[in-house]
Amino acid sequence: MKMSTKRRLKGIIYQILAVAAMIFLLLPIYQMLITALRPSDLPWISPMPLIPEKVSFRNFVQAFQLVPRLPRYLLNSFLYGLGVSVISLGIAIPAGYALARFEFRLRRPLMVFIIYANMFAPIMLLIPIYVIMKRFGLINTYLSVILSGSIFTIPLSTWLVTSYMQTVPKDIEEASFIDGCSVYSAIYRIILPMISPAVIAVFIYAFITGWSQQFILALVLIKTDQLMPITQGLYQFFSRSSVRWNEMMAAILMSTAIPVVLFLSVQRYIVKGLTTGSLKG
Amino acid sequence: MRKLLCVVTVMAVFLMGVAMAEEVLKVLMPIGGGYTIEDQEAIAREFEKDNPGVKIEMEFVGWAELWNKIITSIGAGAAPDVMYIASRWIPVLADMGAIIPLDEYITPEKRELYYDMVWDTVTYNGHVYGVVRAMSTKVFIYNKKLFEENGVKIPTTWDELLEAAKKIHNPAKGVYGIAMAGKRFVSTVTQFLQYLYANDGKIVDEEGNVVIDKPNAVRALEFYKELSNYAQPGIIEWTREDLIKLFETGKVGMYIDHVHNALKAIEKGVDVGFFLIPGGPDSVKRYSTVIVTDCIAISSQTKKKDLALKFMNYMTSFEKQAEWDLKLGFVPPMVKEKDLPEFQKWYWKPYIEAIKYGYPQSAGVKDWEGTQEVLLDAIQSVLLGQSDAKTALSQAARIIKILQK
Amino acid sequence: MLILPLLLAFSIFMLYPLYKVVESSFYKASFLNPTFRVYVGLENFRWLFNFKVFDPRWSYFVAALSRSLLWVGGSVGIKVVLGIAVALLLNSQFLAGRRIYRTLVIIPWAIPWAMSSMMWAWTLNSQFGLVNSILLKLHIVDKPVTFLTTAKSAFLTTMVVDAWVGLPFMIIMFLSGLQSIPDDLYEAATVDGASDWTKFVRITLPLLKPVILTTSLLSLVWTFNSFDIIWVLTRGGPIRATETLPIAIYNVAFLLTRFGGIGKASAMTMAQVALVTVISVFYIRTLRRGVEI
Repeated sequence: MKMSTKRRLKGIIYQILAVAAMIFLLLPIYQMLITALRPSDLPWISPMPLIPEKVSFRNFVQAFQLVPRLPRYLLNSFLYGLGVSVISLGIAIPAGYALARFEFRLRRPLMVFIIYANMFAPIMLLIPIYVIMKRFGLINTYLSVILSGSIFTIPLSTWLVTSYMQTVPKDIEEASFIDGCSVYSAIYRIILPMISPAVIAVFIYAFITGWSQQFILALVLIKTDQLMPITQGLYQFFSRSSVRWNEMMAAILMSTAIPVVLFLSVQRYIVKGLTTGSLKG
Repeated sequence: MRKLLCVVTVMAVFLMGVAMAEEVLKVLMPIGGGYTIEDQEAIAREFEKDNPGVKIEMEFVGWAELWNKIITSIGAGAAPDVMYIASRWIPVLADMGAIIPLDEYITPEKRELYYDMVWDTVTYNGHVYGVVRAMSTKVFIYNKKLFEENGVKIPTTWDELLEAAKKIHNPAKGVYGIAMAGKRFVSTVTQFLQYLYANDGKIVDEEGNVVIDKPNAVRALEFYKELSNYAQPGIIEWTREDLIKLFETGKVGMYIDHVHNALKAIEKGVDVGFFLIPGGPDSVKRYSTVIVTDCIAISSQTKKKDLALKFMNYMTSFEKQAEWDLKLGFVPPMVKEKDLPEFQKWYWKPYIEAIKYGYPQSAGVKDWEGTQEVLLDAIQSVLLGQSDAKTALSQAARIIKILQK
Repeated sequence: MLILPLLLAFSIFMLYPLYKVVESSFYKASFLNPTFRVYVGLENFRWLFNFKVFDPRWSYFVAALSRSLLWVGGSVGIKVVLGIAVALLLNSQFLAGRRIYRTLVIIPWAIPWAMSSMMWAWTLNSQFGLVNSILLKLHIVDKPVTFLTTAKSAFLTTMVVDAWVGLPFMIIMFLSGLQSIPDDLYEAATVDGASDWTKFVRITLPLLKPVILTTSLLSLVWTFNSFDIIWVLTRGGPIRATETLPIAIYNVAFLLTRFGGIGKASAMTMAQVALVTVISVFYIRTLRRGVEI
């Protein structure tokens, strides 16, 4: 008897707490939503009503009229996100394998060293990165932005893969070597499926970073607007005199939908993949 | 296989030849509300048509990032040949040798096209460094209904201005006498400069002395603080660009802004009127305004000076400039433009009339960005009540003197 | 193996820009005049401590650094505490609809930081923000609250917004950590009559410790570089109250061209890296000690 009322009480309290947490996390998004749904020819009201008096989807359409290349920018951001995840995985998986399997005495300091790139203020890296890219003739290409973005994601990605890799027993691939497998096919066919949660986690993390961090790097590396990511494209809603907030919020909402949908489809795996193994550091 | 190789080589040589025959001019333009990619590319295409063998590569960057883009482009050795810059950046860029003087390329005919004041904004150390592309003046936009309801006439002195704000101010009902800006942004400095110049104050005078700590400047800052008592709460979180949202609610008596925003307010049903910024108590000026211009400059890293000049003159010919101003709704920098029918409209008149009372935004200031930071410190500390205007401006003057060396 | 040259190539690619920053901290140079550079040895580092133009009491760098330490500490602290709390919540069997909540938690992470900051700027706005709408409606206040207009409130507010941005990541990390703790440990504790609090302190915390340390270290490194949030919300204001190290570095490199320049900004960056390295090493030591349970 006592147990079940205690349970019910807990259930209610926890619900309230959870709702409170959600309000904190989603309030600005709700603000964006009501701004986007408000017809832009209505003046804003102070204080802002929690439920808009009039709802219209015109801003979403208008966003494309104000910034005709919006779909292109969305596509670009998506490609950057995708590119950074692919490169990150491409580097993190072999590096993680090497670090997990081969006993380096320097392994722990190597871990610290890997996060060095994240310690430098990104704006200071703009010009050296530009110089490298120029030398390889990569200015104003997707690849330059993707490679530069990867600098920031490789560290954690490698860390995650290494940690997860350490939980996979060595004998499994040893068995495949005996059978005549090459290292690559061993990694690909046997290990990868076993570390799939880490792979998914890295994919999502790198994608998000590529998707949102492109802004500062894009400043020097991109010349034409064909390659602009959504973060730069949104500046077209700014003018010398004022900002078209209603339409811009609509645009941001639309752009946010992409990574959110991506997330939802792999959601179960993220939670699993992110820390198994990191318990061991 | 060998045949393929042959074909590829021939094509490569051919394409290289074609590419080499083309002259490429790199142009940097801002984008954002008004400045659209399509409009500017149209100009580029037209130029290319009139000048075969030339290709214009336009680089775009959002307005807010223009300074960052310019700095990093120059720093990386990849500066575009032709750059759109804000005139207040000319001294810094010129001192560092990043842009070239244009005196010898400006014909007397071209000079005459513009108001003299306009040339003042792009002249530094006796040399002209840019051709003005966009200009703005500002006047007070006011809510006629609120003025009538509170029995307020159009102010012609600072006392009347303060009175007007006081009368309308009714925070209990959410009505504010004046809308003001206080966020750490360039437009806040410009808002303060309106009062500074109206009171015959300056940051740097014609001889190059720092005079921001003189009594008339102190008075201007004190007035800014006094007015803020009748403004919306928390003006520190507002930039001038966002004040329109407040004015549109119909609950603000007046504020200083561009003409486009006035039109926006009209669309939203506010009965709008204008009046010029009145001269301050220490000045004999009747009215005053700050003239802000953006111009086209040519980078010193360019290897195509003649082509760059040609394009610059093309963009700023009377026809093209008029077309530009009309399309984007900018105050016309060329004298004859005001005779065009569009600019005869009632809402343009105050802004054009204000030109003769105008003073350049950054006159005499050698390092605008640094000076801006210092002025913002002063403005914000006075607004927050952390310091009085005199101390704040003395501190500012001390640092600006170092910056002017 | 083929992997090695690939890794090597990438390492060089990653290290070159870092090396360049180290190198430029020994020169006096400006972005605006790229061909001109003067070797000045350690002068830039000395400048870090004796540039007192804005405030005679302490140097520009030291002021920014102390703000950063306080701000980062606060933000990471909030992230860890709230992160664990929400993770516990989402892991609890007593919470109905856990799946939905877990999905919603991820949404803030999907938004680029500059945009999140713009959203928060409006949400906190004294006239049009929902926070004030709610506070006014519930009669918690009778006048709108201006969150970004005094030094203290701007500092705290930007800290909270930064925590908001990083919270989803923390929640997910802690959640997975919690889920790898075997249930039988808790069951055994319940049988022994342990209270919830005891279970938390004796079982959860120790087993979660490595995850907490790893995640908070990462968060620390990332938060030190947090620029967009403060930039959009206050630009370092009011009067420098929120001018943390990244903002100061930007100012020195891009805005204070007469006082600053690349060399000095690089010196500031190096100082930041040194500091964060020291903190990281300290963390890793504790991590090593903690795991040996």
